[in-house]
Amino acid sequence: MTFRTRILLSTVPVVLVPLVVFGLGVRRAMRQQIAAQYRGRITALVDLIGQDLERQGTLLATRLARLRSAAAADNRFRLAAIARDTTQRGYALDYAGTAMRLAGLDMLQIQDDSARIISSGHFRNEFDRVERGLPQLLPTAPNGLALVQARTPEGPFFTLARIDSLPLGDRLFTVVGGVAVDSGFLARLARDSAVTVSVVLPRATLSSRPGAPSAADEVVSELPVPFVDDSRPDSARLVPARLLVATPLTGLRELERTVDLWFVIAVLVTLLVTVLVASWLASRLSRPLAELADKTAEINMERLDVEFASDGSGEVGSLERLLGQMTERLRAGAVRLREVERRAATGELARQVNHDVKNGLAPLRNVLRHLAQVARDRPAELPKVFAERRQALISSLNYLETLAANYAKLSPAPEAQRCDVNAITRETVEQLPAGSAELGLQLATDVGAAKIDAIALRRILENLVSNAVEALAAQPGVVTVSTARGADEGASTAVRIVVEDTGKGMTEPELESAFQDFHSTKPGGVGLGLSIVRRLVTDAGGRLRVETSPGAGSRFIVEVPAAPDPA
Amino acid sequence: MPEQLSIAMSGGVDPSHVPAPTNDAERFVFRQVYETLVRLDCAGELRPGLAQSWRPAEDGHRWTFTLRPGARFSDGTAATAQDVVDAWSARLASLPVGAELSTGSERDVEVRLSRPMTVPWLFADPALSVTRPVAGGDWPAGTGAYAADTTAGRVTVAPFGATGRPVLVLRANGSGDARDLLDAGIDLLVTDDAAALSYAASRSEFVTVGLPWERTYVLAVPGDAISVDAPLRAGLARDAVRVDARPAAAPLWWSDPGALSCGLEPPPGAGPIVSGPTADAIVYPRDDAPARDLTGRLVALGIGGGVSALRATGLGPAEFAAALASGRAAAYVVVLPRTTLEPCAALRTLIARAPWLADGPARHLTPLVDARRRAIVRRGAAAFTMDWDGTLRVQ
Repeated sequence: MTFRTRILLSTVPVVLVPLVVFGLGVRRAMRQQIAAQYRGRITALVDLIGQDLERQGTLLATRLARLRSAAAADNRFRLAAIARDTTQRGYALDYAGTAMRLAGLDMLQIQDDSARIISSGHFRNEFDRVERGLPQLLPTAPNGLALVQARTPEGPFFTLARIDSLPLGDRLFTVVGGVAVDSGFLARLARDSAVTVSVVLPRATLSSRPGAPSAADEVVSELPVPFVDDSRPDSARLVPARLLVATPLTGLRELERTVDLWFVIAVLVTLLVTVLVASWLASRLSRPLAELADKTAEINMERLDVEFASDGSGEVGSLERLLGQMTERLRAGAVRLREVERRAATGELARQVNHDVKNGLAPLRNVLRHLAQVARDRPAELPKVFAERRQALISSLNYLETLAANYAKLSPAPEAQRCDVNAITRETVEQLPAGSAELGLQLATDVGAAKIDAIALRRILENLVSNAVEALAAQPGVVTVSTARGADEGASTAVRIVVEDTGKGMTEPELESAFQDFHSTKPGGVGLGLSIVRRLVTDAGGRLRVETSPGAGSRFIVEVPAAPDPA
Repeated sequence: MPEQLSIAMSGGVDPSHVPAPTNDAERFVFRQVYETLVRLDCAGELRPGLAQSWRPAEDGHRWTFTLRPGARFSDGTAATAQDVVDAWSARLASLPVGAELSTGSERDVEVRLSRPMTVPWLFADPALSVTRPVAGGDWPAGTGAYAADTTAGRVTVAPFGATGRPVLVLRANGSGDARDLLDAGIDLLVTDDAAALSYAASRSEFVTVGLPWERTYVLAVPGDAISVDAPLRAGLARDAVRVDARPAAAPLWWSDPGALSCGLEPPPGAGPIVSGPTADAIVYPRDDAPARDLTGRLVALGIGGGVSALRATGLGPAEFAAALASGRAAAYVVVLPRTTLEPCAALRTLIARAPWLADGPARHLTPLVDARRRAIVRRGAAAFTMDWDGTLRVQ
């Protein structure tokens, strides 16, 4: 896993986890607050509804008390009710209607002590009907207030009613008055159109809204209200009815969904921003390290010229300086190591030569010492002994000659001959491994033939091209081999072969030591490549020039004599 | 006599209803403008109308009416016997079945009847008023003492010719409280409003006159009639309604159509009675207060026995007519004229309204109360006479 990935993966949870925890906490608090406010509003509304009902009861009581006083003071009504004055009967029958309208009531009936209706405001012609339930049950209702089903010619309706007494003479009349409990009344109780107030009765349900409560409504409060159930005239009774306060919670749910939605959006946006920022931050943090890694990867024994900036600050700057110092030490160590290797190789070779020469000289010394002894002690036998030892001398000399020949193979003697420069160049280059280099050939058609040993020319090209490819240090680059007729000085009797690369080039000291025997910047290198090239070129009567600059590549120019045209 | 009389009665006046009035106001105006050949006063006496004399022939099968000499329509043209025939020809349904019309002379109108008639009170029917179309005018011309005009948005009935009669101005009751009219200087108010009558009784400048019992409220039940005994009817008249009412009293013109040999048939297309969505309702005309009170009382009393939980349903004129024709309600409270000059014609009209009565109105109709209006007249305003149906005439 890369450093950048680690930074990214560690930053996201570092930012997101606290944010999510914070968001969840805010969301939970908001939902609780919303629900609390909602419950508070509903509670306040229910309290208001309860207060409204109480106020209605009080208002009814006040109105009935006034009506009672007015009726008691009305002589015509008194005549009709007590004295049974038939001329005032019509007045009495209309009395409740007039009084009901004046008092702003929807239901009013006056009953005598036998529960007979003597005047009804809501149903004028219901007179003389005996209605025992209301006088008996209404006084027993809590607060004297109950729901009552009253009648009109057009049908029944429900009222919130209470009862009062009307003493006239020695008789006790009752006055029952009420306000209609219909959708309008319930809507006024509800106040808010989103709230539904319903009354659930034994055989009916009234609601402030048509079709309510619906499935979307949730009952949030329930108030008991007594109901005078007179469905069976002979056994009217007080039964509990329920006043339900319901409201659709869709608004609350929608609000909560909105909060959740925005919470998720906030988390996602934060996640996105966090990833972007973390990615940018990780990239910014890891880029110097990656560059350091890349540079460090370039370091090897052949490539110790990697430079590390030393002016950086912070940990990366320190690391760069450290790597730079380490590279410097490596570079110095490598130089020492190569010197040691070169010396070791030279010493080894010298010891081998010394040993071999000594091995070859020892028989010679022995034979010569024997011959000298024979010549001194037995001169006569010298010829004979010489003849006998002559073979030994020859063998030793052959040995030495062979030894010399073998060592001479390190620098075989070229045999100058006419050879096709372009053909050998093409053949040689095509057989060499290109590595990371792009090998290019620019062969002039008028090059002609050179006078040089073909093997020597091949070895020259092999060494120069291999060195050029290796100078690229596995980096992409171009190695171009070109041939041309003529030398720099314009001599047309020379053939010029140029091997140039786009590699690292050489410094002045490097160039100076490049042609020394056993000098190599490559691990395992013998250090004889360029020295052999120079010797072969020199042996062929040509010359070798190098044009190089650090970082700009190198250009090896070989000029060898051209072969005279065949006659 | 004042030059102008302010008059208020229920209903508006529409010239297109000439000559058959649909409310008190039209009845009053039409009666001033148009004449029948004869008129029947409140005592039942036959008096000259457009005809100054009449004589029977052929044992009452033929009657000859001689028009008043010099009689003219309000457009100035002379009224002739041919005008009478022309006017009646368009209203043959109001004539006795089989009646034939002819003109004996310019002033003599002859009517041949299939059934003999001893007294020609049938010809006092307002539906047989003599009218003459006027080109370009809303009102047909009549031969009465007045001519009507509805320009300027109100009805003005001006005397025709130099008779010295006052101009009659019909006023609408804007606030709905008839007492406001009395306070606003009305000269004649026909009403059954108890409050207005009581108020007028307390005002010395007004005199109140009871008009004839002109309508009967009946309970019409598509099934068999419901028995309403005398005490119940008395209670209804006394307590349930707030108009001048009495228990419905005989004779009832619809009680025995067989005796009249009317030959009643249901109108074509009348289907069987079926129960419908208003089967649990007693239906009444919504604008009629006594009908509403009576219905309420019947509901309160649980009238009908087997039909429980009846409720009252008030309908507007068109809806009530449709409901009555359908016979789908449990019962109806219907207003019928108390008297009629031609029972058979009235029965035909009734059965046209409720075809399910064709098998015998008495089977389905239960009389409840008779009602009437009263005329409140400002003392010294004018002299009025009253026709058989309670309609006032300005003298």
